[in-house]
Amino acid sequence: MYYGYLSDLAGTRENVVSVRDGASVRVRELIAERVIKLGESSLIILVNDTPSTLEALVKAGDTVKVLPHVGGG
Amino acid sequence: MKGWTGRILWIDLSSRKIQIQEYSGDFARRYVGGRGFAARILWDHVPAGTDPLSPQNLLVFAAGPLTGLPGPSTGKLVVATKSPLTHGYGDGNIGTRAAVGMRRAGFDAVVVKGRAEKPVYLYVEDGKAEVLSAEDLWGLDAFSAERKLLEKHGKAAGALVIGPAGERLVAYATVISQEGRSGGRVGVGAVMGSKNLKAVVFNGREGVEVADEGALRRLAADSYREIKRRPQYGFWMRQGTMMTIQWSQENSVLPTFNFSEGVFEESGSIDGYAMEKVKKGQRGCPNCNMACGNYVLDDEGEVSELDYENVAMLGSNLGIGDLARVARLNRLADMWGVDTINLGAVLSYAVEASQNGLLGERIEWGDFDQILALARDIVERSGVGDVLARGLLEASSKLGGSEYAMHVKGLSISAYDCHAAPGMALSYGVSPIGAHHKDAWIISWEVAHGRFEYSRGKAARVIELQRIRGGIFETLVACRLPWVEVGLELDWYMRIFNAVTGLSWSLSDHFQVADRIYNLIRAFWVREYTAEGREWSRVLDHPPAKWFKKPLTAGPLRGARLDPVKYDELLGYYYSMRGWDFRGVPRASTLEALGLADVKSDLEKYIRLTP
Repeated sequence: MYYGYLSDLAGTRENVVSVRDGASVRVRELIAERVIKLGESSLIILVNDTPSTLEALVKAGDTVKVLPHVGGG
Repeated sequence: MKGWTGRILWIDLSSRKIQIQEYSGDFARRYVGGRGFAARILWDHVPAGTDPLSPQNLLVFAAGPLTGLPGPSTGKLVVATKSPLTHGYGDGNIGTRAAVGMRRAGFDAVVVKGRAEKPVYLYVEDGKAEVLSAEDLWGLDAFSAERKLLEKHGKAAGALVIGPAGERLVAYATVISQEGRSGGRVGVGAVMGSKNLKAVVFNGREGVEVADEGALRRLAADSYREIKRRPQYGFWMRQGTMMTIQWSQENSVLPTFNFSEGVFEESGSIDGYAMEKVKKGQRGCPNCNMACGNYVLDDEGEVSELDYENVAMLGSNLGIGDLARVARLNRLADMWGVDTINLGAVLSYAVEASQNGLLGERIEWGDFDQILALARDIVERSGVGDVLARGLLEASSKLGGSEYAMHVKGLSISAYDCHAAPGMALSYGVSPIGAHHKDAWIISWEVAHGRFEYSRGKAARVIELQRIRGGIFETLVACRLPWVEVGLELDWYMRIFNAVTGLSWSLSDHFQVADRIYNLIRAFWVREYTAEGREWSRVLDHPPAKWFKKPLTAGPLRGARLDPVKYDELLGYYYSMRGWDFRGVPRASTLEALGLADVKSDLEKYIRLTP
């Protein structure tokens, strides 16, 4: 799932990816190229709502959230 | 001296004496402007121990060398005083035509002291000032008062006005401008009210002489273009700071039920996407091309300008999940001239206190009608509202419940829950005005860099952010949001500053000014506490007890809470890097190294300094 302006870059707020049962995939491989290009320092990665990294491995059923750094005022 | 007008306007409302002070280039270079000017003026001219609502207190409106000139979001002004809410240094930042008007009228700052016998307002036009009667404005809400003033002085005039909250000395009354801009949550509006000063209005037609006009125009045009090219720009223009509701929810920092939780079940009803569906337009400050003032119609069909802080504090933190109703509370707060952040925090404290049997009547989370009635009581100073109008520190000392009075040094926490964010808690703890996010919004960095750590690196990051946000942007004076939200590099501001002033400053020169100001402000706090017979200690830099004692019970981080021992260690790292002693008081050597030997000598009259 993409948040804030990252959804503009990815062209979607949510993307469902099929992963074979028992297989695992790196978070990096699931994320739109235009978002990855920003670099990890520009992103906040949550896997199943807990802080994670682009190199983490995920499996079928996991939720990956990619958030930008925002200022909020 | 280029870039500065070199003039400060002084008005004594008691004697009606008006003076123009020409200040030196050395003063400009040592304090730059905005918060720097304000802090030095308050240190020099407010007698130690002054009652903030007495005629002896000063009210400072201060611009910086970038204010009002071409450049990204430079239509801003610092308003400062000795705070009636905290009894320490207090300031706020407001985007307003008055900022541009003050500079074009020929002044970098306006200082008001004394007290008028009857309601007045100050009118400043092209180098001259008059004190005029405001008897027909007294009692009006801030929007109506501003409209009347602009009818008289022209739509191009810039006005800073107070509403009924300021007139009735609500300790967190603000200054309002352009029907939705609010500044000075430390109670600047109450200080205006105490002086019988309803408004300050500026009209100016003169320019400010700059060192390199051509370079300034080129840099301004290029920086505006650069902002629009950034990938964040489109989304920002749709949601502005309102996107942070969803961001905070996902990161478990959205203040909920008086900062008891970091997630709110109904957040989707008040977030940026909910706002987009009903958005009617957006408004901005002068000289800004990334206007953040998204406005909607509230449940009474009136225009209300929303942003993250007011929606979080008047929405999730009170358990209200109806954006149109949150918008009404927000609009009324602006019309009353009261700070939405403090108001939300005081109301949520009152709800929790009522549920603990301290108020008699029980109020439920999300009970809009009861909450609105209590808000009215605060502004009218009726019943328990009179106590709540004095702020969280005083209200909780009278009513009880200090462990859930969510403030630091009297100023309420702004809209980030810190059960699982020790760096943000430190940022609130050591903010120069009491708890506020303005100076070091570390939380975005923190959630991506070991959010449960209490490291030296975090303390260092807080200081770096304070130097940039609380130093550079508060002295230039320009809005920090182009840098924060679309990543406009600091180098743009350095180049614009140098084109304006003719100086060749680098980031480190600005950082030194920032450090000087931070130490001066800390000295002001220590002096005022000591002069008022209160003891200064490091506990004053601790966040509220709730975050240490009562863990989160909902969301992915349930069970999280701050560790008091580790927090105190983190605070120690901060003190050590700042050159402050175990009490959080600047060392004598630190003050001397920053060119504040005179401040050191004065402070030593009140407290023993560590060498």
